[in-house]
Amino acid sequence: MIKRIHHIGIAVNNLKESAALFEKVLGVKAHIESVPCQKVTEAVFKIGSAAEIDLLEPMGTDSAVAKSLEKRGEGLHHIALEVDNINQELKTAEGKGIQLIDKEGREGAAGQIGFLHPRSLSGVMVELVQPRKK
Amino acid sequence: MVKKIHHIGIAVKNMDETVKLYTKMLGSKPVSTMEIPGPKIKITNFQVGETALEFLEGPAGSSIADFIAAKGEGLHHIAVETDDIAAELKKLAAAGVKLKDKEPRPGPEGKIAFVGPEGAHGVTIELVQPEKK
Repeated sequence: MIKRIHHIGIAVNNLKESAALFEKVLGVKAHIESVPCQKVTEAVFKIGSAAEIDLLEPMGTDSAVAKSLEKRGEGLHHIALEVDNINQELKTAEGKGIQLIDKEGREGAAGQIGFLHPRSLSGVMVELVQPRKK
Repeated sequence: MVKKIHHIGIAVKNMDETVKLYTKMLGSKPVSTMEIPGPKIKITNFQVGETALEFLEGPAGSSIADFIAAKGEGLHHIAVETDDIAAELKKLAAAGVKLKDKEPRPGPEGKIAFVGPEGAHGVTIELVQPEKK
């Protein structure tokens, strides 16, 4: 089941500069985190209990975010939906004819993650996230 | 004060097709549809928790069609909810943030104003002060 929007991912060239702007707009400070498995440095903004905004700066040139920056420039990159069972949701999505990037959940910053192909979703890259139990 | 992410705006070519896809994917039906009279932009909203997905389709020459021509279908803007949009705009202007709208203007769900994408690292940010219901 899809529970809520977990975060919105934004690809940026310069994390410091972008984080400074979003701190002004959102009125909260970012939490900076390295996510080597996805080859990004993130600035995470929590706004109340609602969805987060994650700014993503690539490490190196061969990550998904680096490629997106090269191709499309800075800007909104993906939306992440929180689910309670990632593998089941990926299977359900595939059964509905949605093309998957990840057939199975894999380890991400927030827990188990899997991406759906933008081609099947009106150009939107959708991430499913099953957060780690705290 | 920014309270939450109010909605995520998504530019699409074919609203009917998109609504079908997202009804399937989200497992829920749209909560509202409307059309902005001037530019004839069609809007369909899906609610996902506290945040809506706002799908936008516009005729040739509209800002939405121009966006799709330049960047393709997909994520268009994020909107954050505030309880006092005029005060937020004043604060942002004082902090040196480049505003597209210096004053709030009427939007489909309340008062709105845009920041970016110029000067906002490629992201269009909308401020929304919803109408009291």
